[in-house]
Amino acid sequence: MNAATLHRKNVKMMRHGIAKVLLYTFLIAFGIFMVYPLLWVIGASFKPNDEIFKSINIFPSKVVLDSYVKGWQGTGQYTFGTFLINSFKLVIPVIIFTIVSSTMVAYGFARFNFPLKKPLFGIMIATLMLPDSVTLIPRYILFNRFGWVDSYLPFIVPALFASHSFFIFMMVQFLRGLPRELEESATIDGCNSLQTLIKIVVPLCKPAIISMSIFQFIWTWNDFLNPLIYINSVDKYTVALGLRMSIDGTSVIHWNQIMAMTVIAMLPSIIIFFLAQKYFVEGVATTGLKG
Amino acid sequence: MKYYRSKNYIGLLYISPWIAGFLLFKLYPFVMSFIYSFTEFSILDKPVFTGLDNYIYMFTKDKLFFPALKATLAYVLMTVPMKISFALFVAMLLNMKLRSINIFRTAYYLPSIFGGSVAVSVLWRFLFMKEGIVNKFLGFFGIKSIDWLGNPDVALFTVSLLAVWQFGSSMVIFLAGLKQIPNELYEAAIVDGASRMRKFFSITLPMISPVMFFNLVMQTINAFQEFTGPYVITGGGPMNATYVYSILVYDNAFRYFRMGYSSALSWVLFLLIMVFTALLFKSSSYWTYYEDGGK
Amino acid sequence: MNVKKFMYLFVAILLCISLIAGCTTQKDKADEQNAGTGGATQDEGNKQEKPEEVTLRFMWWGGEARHQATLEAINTYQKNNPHVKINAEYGGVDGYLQKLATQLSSRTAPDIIQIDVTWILELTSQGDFFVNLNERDEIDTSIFDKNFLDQFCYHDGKLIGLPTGVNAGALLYNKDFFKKYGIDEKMKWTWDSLLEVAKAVHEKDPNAYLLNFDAIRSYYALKAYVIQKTGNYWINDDYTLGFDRETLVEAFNYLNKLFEAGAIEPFEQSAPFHGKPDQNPKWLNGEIGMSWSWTSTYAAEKANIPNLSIAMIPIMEGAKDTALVVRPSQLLAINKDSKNVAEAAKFLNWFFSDPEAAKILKDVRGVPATKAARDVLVENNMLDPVLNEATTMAMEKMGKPENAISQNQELEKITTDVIQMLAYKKLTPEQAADELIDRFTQKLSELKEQLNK
Repeated sequence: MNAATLHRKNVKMMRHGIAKVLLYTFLIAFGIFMVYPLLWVIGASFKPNDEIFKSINIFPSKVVLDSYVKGWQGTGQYTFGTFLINSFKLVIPVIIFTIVSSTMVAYGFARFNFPLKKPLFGIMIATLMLPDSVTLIPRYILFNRFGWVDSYLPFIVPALFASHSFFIFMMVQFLRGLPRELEESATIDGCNSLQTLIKIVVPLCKPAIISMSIFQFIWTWNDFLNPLIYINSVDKYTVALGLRMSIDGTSVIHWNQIMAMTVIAMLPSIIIFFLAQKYFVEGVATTGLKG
Repeated sequence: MKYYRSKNYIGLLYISPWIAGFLLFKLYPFVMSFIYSFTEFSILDKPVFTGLDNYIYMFTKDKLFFPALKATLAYVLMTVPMKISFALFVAMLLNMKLRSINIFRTAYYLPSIFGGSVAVSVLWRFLFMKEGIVNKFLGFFGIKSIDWLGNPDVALFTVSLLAVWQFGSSMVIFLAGLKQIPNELYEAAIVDGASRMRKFFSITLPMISPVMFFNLVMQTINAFQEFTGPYVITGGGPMNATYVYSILVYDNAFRYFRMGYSSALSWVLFLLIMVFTALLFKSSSYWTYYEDGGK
Repeated sequence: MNVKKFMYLFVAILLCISLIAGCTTQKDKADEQNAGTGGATQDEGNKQEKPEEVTLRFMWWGGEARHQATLEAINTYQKNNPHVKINAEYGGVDGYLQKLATQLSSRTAPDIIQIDVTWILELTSQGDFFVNLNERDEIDTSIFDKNFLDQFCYHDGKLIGLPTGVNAGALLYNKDFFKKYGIDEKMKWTWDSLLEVAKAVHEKDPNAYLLNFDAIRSYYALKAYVIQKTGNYWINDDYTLGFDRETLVEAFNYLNKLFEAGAIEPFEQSAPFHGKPDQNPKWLNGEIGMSWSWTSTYAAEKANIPNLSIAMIPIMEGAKDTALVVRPSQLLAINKDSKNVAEAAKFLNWFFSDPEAAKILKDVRGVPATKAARDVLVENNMLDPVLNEATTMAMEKMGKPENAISQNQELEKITTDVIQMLAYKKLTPEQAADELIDRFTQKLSELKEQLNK
């Protein structure tokens, strides 16, 4: 190795180093913009109540510690813990059923030909296009007739029946991005289509399935309007209802407690996202399935 | 031939949960809202059939219909391209093999975890008010402060920034799509001495075009129906600059109790979204690439 | 099309439906079982001649204080009446009306419902949803001011609900701000003095404004100005305008002067807080001094502005009507579909008339509407003296109660739109008046047509 190549290598490494520093600077600068809201909410949860709307500062002028305790206690009838548990009771079955049903249906659409496939696919997408405001009442009437009001069934049963077109469409697009050779060879090896789905397709779609569960978790967790309409009993309230249950212009609103509970309410979503993303790292390419 | 036929039924079997779900849960609300659109219906009273009155009223008399339509189209055209290009850009950044990239990914996803929570609306107002953080920041560079939410020409843009800022789900989908691209393709390109740009346009873009298409369709459908952002931040103002279509639909349904008219408005929006989506689907055959042969 | 294919589809659907049907029947069975055990206890109960056990659902919206007080009241009532169980269904104000409308439309609404007085017409004009409380012997209506009941709680001769409290339009002002700018707290506000003081304040400090007005509050002011001039309703009962162009031009001119004199923070700046002016940092930090609001929001606002007080709205000399809106803060009504109307009525009667209940409930639903309850609170020092005095004053000076059409939401939207166009200088006061009259006339003829259908 002569001096010239060594020098060139050094230059290259230095350039690489500078690029890395620049990249990190950029990522951090941008990251601050993304994290700022969370920091603000955390800061607000420690502020005295009358300070929250008065200043845009992140840091409280005087640290108040009881907002978490008092916010957790809420009105005294049920604690915020009840709402957290309720949200899990609602969200977990919804996620599991959504994954199973959406993957199956997407597999059907992406890998098989059958009569009326195109119109059915069209209808599936079209169900996303009508504003919720006008389907809300007839849907309520329907679920009321089934006797499901004041339970989580209006959320869970539709998930079982692949009612979330968003996820079906998403899985279809992912499946169509996957080569078919593996499945075909599995078929030749004597697997039936269900075995192929479970043994070949699902592992290949892991990143998509993980994304699906993250989205479904966060969206169902944050959903306010549907639980509001369907849940009557306070002991069945979800987190989103619990957060808004004391917001009214004619009473003193303890914003610092609401901010404190907002932080608590966000934690599960943050943790789940943080844990789930390792599955993005081991995508198809790195697992070496495609050989 | 026989093999193909038997496949027919299997495909239907796989999608049967959706068909059942559609017939059980979706069809009735859909049909009912369509019927309502030809009636005068206050929710609380019995609907009265009025023929095409609602539709005629919409186009001839409703002073808010065309402004709302215009605001919504502007919102869609602003939000969708910004959000998707931003999401793709960030997804490519976060796809790099860097140390502690996990933390960055989580950080960048945080805005989307907020959803439409109470905190977001408070915060967005603090960011963009006259003496807010954004104006203070711009002040460092000598830029005069802007009424981000008070100027009717700017407000819609500010509201659409909120949607762009919550780019997380599109980003995650892109990220999952990027992870599916086989490394060999890039390795082969490096052997060929392809430039970064070339790799992006000839490998990355075609390989993620299916998820790109998905993001485009879904973001368009969602943007047309955007409600929470404008509703909680500006309430449709100033001077109806952010009075998007969904607020018009909501106001008629639950503020004025004109569910019949609101349904008619919704079906017009439905048709509009349908046309846009159909165009996207039509165009997709020119620019999406499917590994499965595009059947 | 192949018949076989459809057969498959059909079977698949049938399978799914039966699955669901399975679920429901199971649930039904469970219900039956519950009913069975319930019946058993009932039988035992009958032996001891206890009253039948009932469960009532009570729905309201509010903040923490209201929730806690109401829950305590319910507990107390349940202790005194062990056969009654009351399920509290409470939440914030967001989406409450939407939920109520959904429930009423499919007949799943609770037994006891808190409603806003402005909804009465919307709700009662479209269906018979509430029990006529006047016909219930369980309820003693004599404890309420008869006039107050007649004006706000009756519809078509039926007593729709009972008023939980008295709410009045009022000016909330920051005492510190008044001190700083040397404004007399005892001032009896007129429109002229309002403008004068506002001008002086803004000249002294270009960052300070006297009035915390968004489009809706400007609309309160505009309406009051017009009504004080005319003495009519804003909109007459026959759906004609309660004012002429000249009066409206004058009112818009006045409003325009407020904008131009810097009495109101320019809408360009205050826009982020429209619809929630109570959250405007300038108001909270004492850079804006006065807000046109309701006595019901006093406690909430005082939590942020400790030196808050209440003044009477501006009234012009020789006003034909004070245009001072006084109305129930909310009503409690009984659902007509309720299976336990008698028990619900008994509870309501206790809720309003029992001194113990009054002590528990304090003023969480506004200053109580019955004199007895007010006296209990005053005796126990449970009522803010400022609030009490303002309410008493307002009751004396109250204007003619607003009729239904004047509170129409679509007309409100038109007015606030036009006010914004004035504030943004897209219209002159004359043009604003013409625009408003134009749009009102169109909307009113539509509404009238609808009524006749």
